[in-house]
Amino acid sequence: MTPIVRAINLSKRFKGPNTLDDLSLDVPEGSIFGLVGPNGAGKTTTIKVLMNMLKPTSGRAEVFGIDSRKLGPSEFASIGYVSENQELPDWMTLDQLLNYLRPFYPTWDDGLAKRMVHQFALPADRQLRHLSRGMWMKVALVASLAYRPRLLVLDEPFSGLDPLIRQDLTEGLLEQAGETTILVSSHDLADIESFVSHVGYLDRGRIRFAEEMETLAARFREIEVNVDPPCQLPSKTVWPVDWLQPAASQAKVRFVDTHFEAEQTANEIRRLFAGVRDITVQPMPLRAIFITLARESSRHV
Amino acid sequence: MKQALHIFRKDARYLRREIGLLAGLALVYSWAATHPMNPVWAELLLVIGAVYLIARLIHAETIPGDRQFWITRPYRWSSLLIAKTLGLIVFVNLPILAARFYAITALGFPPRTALAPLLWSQFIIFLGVTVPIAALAAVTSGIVPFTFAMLIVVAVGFAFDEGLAPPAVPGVRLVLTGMQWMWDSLALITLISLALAVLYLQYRNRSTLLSRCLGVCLLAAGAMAYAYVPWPVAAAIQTGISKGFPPRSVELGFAPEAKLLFNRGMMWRGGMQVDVPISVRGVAPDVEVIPDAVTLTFEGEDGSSWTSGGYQTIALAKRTPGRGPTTLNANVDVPLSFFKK
Repeated sequence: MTPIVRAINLSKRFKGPNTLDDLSLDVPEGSIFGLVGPNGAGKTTTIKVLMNMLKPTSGRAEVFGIDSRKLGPSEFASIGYVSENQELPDWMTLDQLLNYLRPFYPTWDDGLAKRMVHQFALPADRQLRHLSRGMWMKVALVASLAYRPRLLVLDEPFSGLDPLIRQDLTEGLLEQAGETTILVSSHDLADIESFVSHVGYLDRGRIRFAEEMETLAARFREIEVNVDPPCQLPSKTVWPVDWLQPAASQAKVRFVDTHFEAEQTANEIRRLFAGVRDITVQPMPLRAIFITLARESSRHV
Repeated sequence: MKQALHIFRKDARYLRREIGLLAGLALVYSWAATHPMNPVWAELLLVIGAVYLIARLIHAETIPGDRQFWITRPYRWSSLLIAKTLGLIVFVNLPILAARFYAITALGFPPRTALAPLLWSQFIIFLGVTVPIAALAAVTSGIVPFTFAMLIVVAVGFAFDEGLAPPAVPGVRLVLTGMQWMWDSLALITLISLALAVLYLQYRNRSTLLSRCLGVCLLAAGAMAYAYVPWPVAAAIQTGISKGFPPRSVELGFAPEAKLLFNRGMMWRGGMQVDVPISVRGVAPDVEVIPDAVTLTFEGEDGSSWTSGGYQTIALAKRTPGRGPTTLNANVDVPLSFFKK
């Protein structure tokens, strides 16, 4: 798949250290790409650079193959952007907002807009300033999907919403998105792990990894090895760099293999430990993978 | 243009209360101006209302910041700028023009002759007042920072006007008449250029920091030029652009035989008022002399001298009305220290 969004050695510096540090990222067309990372990792800054709201300090970003600094009306006619921090003309009602936006988009689909308004049970004649936060996010989503954008960018769309609203929002998004490529950021993996096809982990302005969910799930395993006591961990010099969070007790060793291949891992275990009794391999939920990576990352600060 | 009109209609709906308020203030102004009362308070209210509406109109699509909904929507910058310009004309300048037109015609001026100068002065108000205020709004993110910036600009303007700046023409600031247009035009042109440049930069590139720096630099440059362009330079420019007038034929000379404006010099605490008659010859019979400024140098027998300048004021009077050669009386306060030497 060709990337619809691309960041190449992107850096952004405000005052102090780089917020984005040599960040490279590809979002394939047609994917639902989850950009996850702890608060302050640089997710919003990345998105703002991609959307031409901020200029990069160095490197470049591309959307539809166009330098993000040159994004103009013709590109924005094919981009939907929803952010938890975005301001909307809150004096308008939903009807007024949709009527106002319609002429800006040649691909505006009134039927889709109506379906979404109905699906989300949104009040069409209430001023946006009187809507709850959940409704407000739904309005933003309707106003960004009604023209069937080629790319939909969502910056922390689920932040501060209750689980029911999150579910509504996710369902609505998936039902109506169609062929749209979606880039969604979140600090909480649980919000997005059920529907993203790709995931990128951002930490302190750097992408630690970005890959398909299936590949990611396949290569991470929690390994438990029972050995003859007393058990001792090998020195750091021989410990494989792909094995994270090692822990040992009297007769048991645990670690996370980040590049699991059954035969190779088993051979390596037998090479490092004497008296291996048995090896248990457990697939890891995505949440556990991210916690492992986040802890590992903070250990190296 | 279609998009510009669409945004304009949205602004009209959004600001309908403020537009109504300004129209009401314009009505009050036209009523106050045509009744036997001082219309200054109504004028002040109208100005405040207009400034507020300008700021609200520009801030409907705020330029600085990255949270506004419109910056990720397919807005064309030119359409947005046209929409705002239309708004400034229709919502702000049109009610003011209508109020002024009503007031002038109600005071007895014929509508046909009043309209053209009114339109011209409204155009100058639009360029010299509305556009600079819009530019200030375009580099601020809301009504509070705008008000703060406005207060700073007004305070600096007052301070500049009230004494921080040296007089445009040393020694003759108060009597400047025929050439003041040059300083005023300079200030106006600087202000308009500054405002247009800032608006273009802001709407084209949203470069708020650059626009703010440019604004401050141009304003400082304009103020410096306003304060320090020497009057002989201004006089040379005026002479250069005057048609059919050979300046070298004009001769100025001391005319002791001419009648004095004051028969006796008036004493004051620090010196004496001296009346100096000056003849102006070589002026064509169809040219009228209008005195603007003169710098006088007094020389004592001992070789000491005193030149009018600084903050001394010279009064200039023309004794013979009409056109052609004439005599002027320059009335200058010479300090006692000069006489004591």
